Amino acid sequence: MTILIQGILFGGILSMMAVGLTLIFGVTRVLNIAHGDFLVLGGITAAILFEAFGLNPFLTLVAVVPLFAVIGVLFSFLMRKPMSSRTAEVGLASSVLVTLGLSNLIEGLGVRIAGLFGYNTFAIPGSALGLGTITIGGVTLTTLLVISFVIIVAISVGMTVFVYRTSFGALMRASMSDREAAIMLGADVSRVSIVTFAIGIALASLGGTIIVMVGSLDPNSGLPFTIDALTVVVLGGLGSFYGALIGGFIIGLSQGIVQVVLTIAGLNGGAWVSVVPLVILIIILIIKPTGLLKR
Amino acid sequence: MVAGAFSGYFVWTIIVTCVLGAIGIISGNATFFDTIQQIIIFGALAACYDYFSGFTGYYNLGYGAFVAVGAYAFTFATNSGINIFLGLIIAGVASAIFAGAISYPFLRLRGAYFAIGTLALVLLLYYLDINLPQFTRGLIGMYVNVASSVSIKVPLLIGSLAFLLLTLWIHFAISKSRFGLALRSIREEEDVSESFGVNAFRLKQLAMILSGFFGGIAGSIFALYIGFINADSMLGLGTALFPVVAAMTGGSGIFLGPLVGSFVLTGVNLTLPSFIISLNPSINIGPLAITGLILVLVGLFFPSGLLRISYFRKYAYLRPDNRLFRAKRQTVPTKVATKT
Repeated sequence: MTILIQGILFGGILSMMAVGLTLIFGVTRVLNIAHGDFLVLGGITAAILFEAFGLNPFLTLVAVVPLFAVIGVLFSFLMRKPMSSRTAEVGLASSVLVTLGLSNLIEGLGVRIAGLFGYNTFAIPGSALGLGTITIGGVTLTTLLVISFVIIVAISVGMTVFVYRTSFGALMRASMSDREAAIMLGADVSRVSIVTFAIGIALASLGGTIIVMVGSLDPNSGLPFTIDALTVVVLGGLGSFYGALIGGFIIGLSQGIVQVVLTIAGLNGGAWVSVVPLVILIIILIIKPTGLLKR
Repeated sequence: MVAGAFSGYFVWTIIVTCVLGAIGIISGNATFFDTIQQIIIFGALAACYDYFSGFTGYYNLGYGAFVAVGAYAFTFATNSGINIFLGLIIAGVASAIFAGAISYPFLRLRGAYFAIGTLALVLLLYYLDINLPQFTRGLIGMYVNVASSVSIKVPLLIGSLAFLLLTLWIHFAISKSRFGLALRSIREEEDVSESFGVNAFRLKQLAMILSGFFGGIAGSIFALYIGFINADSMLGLGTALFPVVAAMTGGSGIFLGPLVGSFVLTGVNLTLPSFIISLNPSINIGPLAITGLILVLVGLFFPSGLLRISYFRKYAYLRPDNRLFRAKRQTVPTKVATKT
């Protein structure tokens, strides 16, 4: 049962990452391959703050997330050239090359710098936070899981409200639908792009902070997270906000279910769990490549 | 179709690469030898990737799967005592069959979806490899027994050089042929070219099978060079994506593009870290970060590849695909090449 809950939690993190990725792609047409690395960076930052100052990561969220929003703004400046490419083909190739390069750069430097400080993996053991367990409806869960879950749900609701009810959200949706028309109607699309990058990277770092508490992170694990998020994005439909949101939970839940089924069947469930998103992705691409929800 | 393939362009390539190879062998410098060897092998890998992706414009990110299938087939074959050359053919055929098989589900995807799907394919193979150690020995890996003899180093360099020239020649021949023309028409406008009688699926499948066959052989040579294969060295994302990145860096679809990309990336990867360390011993930046930096710079400033920058634009009329157009054209262009 705990495995299922963990699966849903992981699904929630995936959906947050996927929302960031799909918003960035929808507004700026940049496929951010370095997204997973920002998640890892966020988690590592939280872990370092914990090790150095003993601060509870839930509290350092208030510092980490805005920090990464600023990093997102800087990232948007880096992506200006790929965003303004002449053709869509060259733009996609350019953004993929730049973000892949950035991902390699972060991972390569991360491993060296982490080795310099003597760390290889980063984790914040839940027991060190001094939280206990909560029993809900006969199921005992760690408080950690519950608080993380509450945060994820709150952020998801907040993002939905932001994108669909605020005027800035309307600007984002307009830029996603038709960039040129939005420009002609007076939307400041470059400002929207900058803010979108900031939001996307901040969401990724939030996910990283939670993962570093539930599991562990090392600088090399950025790309697998990006692939998982990409799976969710394709499942939900490139550029569809709700698709990313729902898709994340679907994949997380499927991972949990597969792990439980395999464990009951006596096989090593944990090892096969990474295969689930890939198989789902391939099946979806063959059956319905545009994703579950249309843009 | 392949008449005139031995133009001056290509002859110069042969001469230069052979000279470099000879320098590599004659000089006693092991690092230099290794660098040249790796440039040759990765150049061949990138060129085979480019058979499909360079001409059709689809990014086959799952190319690493073809390479790995070939390498594993080669290892299984030669470890059971089969002759090396027969093993190479077997590897190529195995990889070609694999390529043909996956072309049925995957070639119905377009653009970014194809890229993501093939990437998922290679990752899937990676996890299958790790999780089925009873067949593939996963992360532990296995030794390529024929590579254990030390005397294989120089013959391997010569053999891989010959293979590189073969793959480049095929790349050249495709770009000058009607097959290549059809593939490029698919890249420009697939649906319109279908209405002109181009059987897009069959041609894409053929290009993919070619890419698979030679990619499998290239993967076997890679396995011979390393002497050891396991899930990480064959299907790890760094290795699997390197041919893709090398081709894109040098210029996808252009003759010598993949080789230039391989030259730049491998050369810098192998020499820059030690160069930086020799300047300042405390700074140890690994090859991954260097590759990342190069990719960022290439993506920002030369997104279509190094050979497509405007500096080389004035030499564009010499490019093989342009020569085919000029041969078929009725009007005489203003700049007529005087050398063959």
